[in-house]
Amino acid sequence: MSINSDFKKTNSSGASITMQHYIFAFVQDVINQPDNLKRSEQWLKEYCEKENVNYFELNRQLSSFFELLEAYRKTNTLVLYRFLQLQAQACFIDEERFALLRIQPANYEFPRITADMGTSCSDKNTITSSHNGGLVGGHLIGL
Amino acid sequence: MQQPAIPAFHVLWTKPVTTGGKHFSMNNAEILTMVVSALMWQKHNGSIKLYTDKAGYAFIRSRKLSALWDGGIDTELLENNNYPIDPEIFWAAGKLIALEAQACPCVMLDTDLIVTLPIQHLLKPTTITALHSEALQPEVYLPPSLLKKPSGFSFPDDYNWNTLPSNTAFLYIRDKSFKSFYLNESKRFMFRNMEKPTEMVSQMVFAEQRLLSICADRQHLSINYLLSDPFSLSNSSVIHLWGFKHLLRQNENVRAIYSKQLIEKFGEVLSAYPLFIPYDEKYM
Repeated sequence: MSINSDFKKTNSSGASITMQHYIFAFVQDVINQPDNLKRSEQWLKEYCEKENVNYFELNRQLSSFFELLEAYRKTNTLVLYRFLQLQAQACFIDEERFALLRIQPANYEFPRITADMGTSCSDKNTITSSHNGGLVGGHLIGL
Repeated sequence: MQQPAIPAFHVLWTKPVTTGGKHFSMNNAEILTMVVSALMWQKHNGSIKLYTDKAGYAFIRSRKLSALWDGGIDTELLENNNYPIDPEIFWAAGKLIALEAQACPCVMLDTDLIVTLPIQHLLKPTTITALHSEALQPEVYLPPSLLKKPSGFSFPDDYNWNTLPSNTAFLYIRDKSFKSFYLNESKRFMFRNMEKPTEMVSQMVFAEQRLLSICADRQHLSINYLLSDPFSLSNSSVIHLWGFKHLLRQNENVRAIYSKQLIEKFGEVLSAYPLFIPYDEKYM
């Protein structure tokens, strides 16, 4: 296969549907068959060439995704799950495909839709200053 | 009708870190949060001042952030304070020392908390407003018998130990009389209270968060809260790193994604602050 790209294009314009399918397949392969990583990476590089996608940028985003996945598997916290979903988007994996990766869901749920600001004390609150992982108002910045 | 501004203050007290022999630092995500916190308060709610010490000021200067606080920077108060307080046990005491010096009404704002909207109209009718209440989890909020106490200290009989503590990452106090009462009770507990606990949470959250609620209850004052549930999707005004700070410190990828989201959301206010450019270049 001939490779002609200068690898300097950014990924801001997105990836074709074919490319998105391939990236998804690549991520599945890395998760399920990590022994084939080198071969899969080579194929990914060649697809990027054909599709005018910046391989180095995509590879950087994918590396972040796999590192986050490793961190998530140790904790299963919802906040990391959200970061993982967001990082998947940076790798052209939309929510639908992300769900197909069958990553184990987070082991507890928040936030909830309850009250507005300016209210008085509520006994429903079961968290304290010792809790680890909660980002209050994360939804306000898309997390 | 436009509400009058309410002055706020940030506190960067490095003594708890430097006393243990460590070098004080903040990661880029924490710095960015502090920058947005200060700029958003100025945009919507009033002026903001920083209380810090020499090491904190050196850090601020090294990051070229000295102009961030329109109310100025005070380095004398915390640097010269000689209260008999163990900074490792009472790591947030710097906030209370600054609160003591600040005129009322005022808002004590943690550097990891961003208020995204005007909220003066919510604060003005109240005597005390904190961020949200907290559950009385016994491993965090110890029963009085398990708290370490200074020699000769006893808790007043009329303390209501069933009152829910208040998260003070945001704290508005209108009147000096309540502020003095609360801070005197807190100092009475913290002063010469040097026995190290097995963990470093319970003593501090009692002195700052539980005592606030107990003192309000004792003076028959109600505490209002900005949030009835911190993780409600109805929250439209507050971003608080809270326990998420630990994750930010551990994971560079999380720092990068969080910073990118913050910059996307607050790009407009940040772009007015020229020293933000290095963060923009790094994360966008």
